[in-house]
Amino acid sequence: MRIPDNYPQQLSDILDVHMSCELLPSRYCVNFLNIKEEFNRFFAELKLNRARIADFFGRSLPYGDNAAIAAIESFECRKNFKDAAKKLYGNKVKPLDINNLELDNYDLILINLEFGGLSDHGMPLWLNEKFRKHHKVFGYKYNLPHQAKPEGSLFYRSDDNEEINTLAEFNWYKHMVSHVHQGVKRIEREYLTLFDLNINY
Amino acid sequence: MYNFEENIYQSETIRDIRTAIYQGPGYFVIKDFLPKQAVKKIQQRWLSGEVDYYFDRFHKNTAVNFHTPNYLIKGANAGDRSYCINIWNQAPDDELHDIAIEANKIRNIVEGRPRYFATRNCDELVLQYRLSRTVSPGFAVKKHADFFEEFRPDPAGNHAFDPKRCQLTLFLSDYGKDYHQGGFHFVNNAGQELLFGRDVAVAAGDLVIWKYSNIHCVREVTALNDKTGFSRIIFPQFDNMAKDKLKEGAR
Repeated sequence: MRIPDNYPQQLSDILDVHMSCELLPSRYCVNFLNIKEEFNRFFAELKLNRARIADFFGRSLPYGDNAAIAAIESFECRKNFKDAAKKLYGNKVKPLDINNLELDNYDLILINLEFGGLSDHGMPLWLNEKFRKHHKVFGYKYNLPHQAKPEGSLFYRSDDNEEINTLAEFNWYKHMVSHVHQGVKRIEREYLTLFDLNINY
Repeated sequence: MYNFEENIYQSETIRDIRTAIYQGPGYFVIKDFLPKQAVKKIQQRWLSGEVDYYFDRFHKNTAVNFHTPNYLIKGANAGDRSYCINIWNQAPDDELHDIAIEANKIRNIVEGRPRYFATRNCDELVLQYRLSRTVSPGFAVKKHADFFEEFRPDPAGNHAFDPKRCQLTLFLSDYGKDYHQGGFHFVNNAGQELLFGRDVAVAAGDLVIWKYSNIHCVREVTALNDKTGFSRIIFPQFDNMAKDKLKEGAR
């Protein structure tokens, strides 16, 4: 895809990959490298090394080629995103089997909160029952543009045209943080907000 | 309400439209979006004489806000004009208003937005539709690409790179019958410049949805019929409005 001169050429390839998987060249795609950068910064702060990650609904996993990550297991039912992740990272990404989920097998657990706003994807409400004190667990959401105001966007669409209900997403968030009694630690970035779901505080 | 065929919202159709816009030529033609009879009625009401409705003098895009009335842009020639109708104002033509909302709904679904996005004052972007007639040669709209980080002298909002964005052109006249030689020029995804009507088959009543960040212009129109010339409706959206609304809320 033709992109402005002041954008990195790499972005053109990323947009092409997403469009070939019938995904929109959306804000998420255009900011793929910015989101990746914010994840990289976050991983550096966590001091990850050869990490194994369990990811829930991480779309095309913008952080996938981070050198500190050895393996990713992804629970992503949306075929188009799954295809894009496969094209971007090949066999580094494996499907996550939530029927036999053992969180001790992972160094980091990431949960995209939009998961909760989607219907018909088998949202595992029991997920936070499996959190233990030694787990690094973070929820995250992709930030909407600054101008988007909540009253105008109860629903928004992910790039595969699935409607996300922000109210249901919020309920899922409340459920996921229900074990945290002293306020949720947030890490706010421009494109990404992360929520510490560890139960050790 | 004007409703186009509900089939247009089926996921296979939306997939085909998206494929054409983002991977294919950069546009998709929705044939007979408006029946010929409806086109004729609009031509009669809007293009056959003076319009019996008060349109304010020209307003710059940057100055448009929720208090801006509907206004008229006059072009190089006395016959060149654009009637700019803001969705938040009382509709001068209910049928046209419904048609604009229906066209905008299709764009919303293609862009992955809620159906009625941009038709409510609280939305991030708010719709205006412009019924334009060009009867003179030269550039009516200079060559440019929207949402491609290009300088815009009078932007309707932020033009940061956003390849998802689409514009719609609802054709109200026919190439070869009402105008010829020029019209709506569009550079497709392969870099070829096309003239709609001559290189792409479109007729009055067809709605073209096209990738906004591709280079486009309107030029070299020779009118064969001075009443209709090259007539169309386009559907810009304003994002200055959100700031205006926030300011009002802060007062």
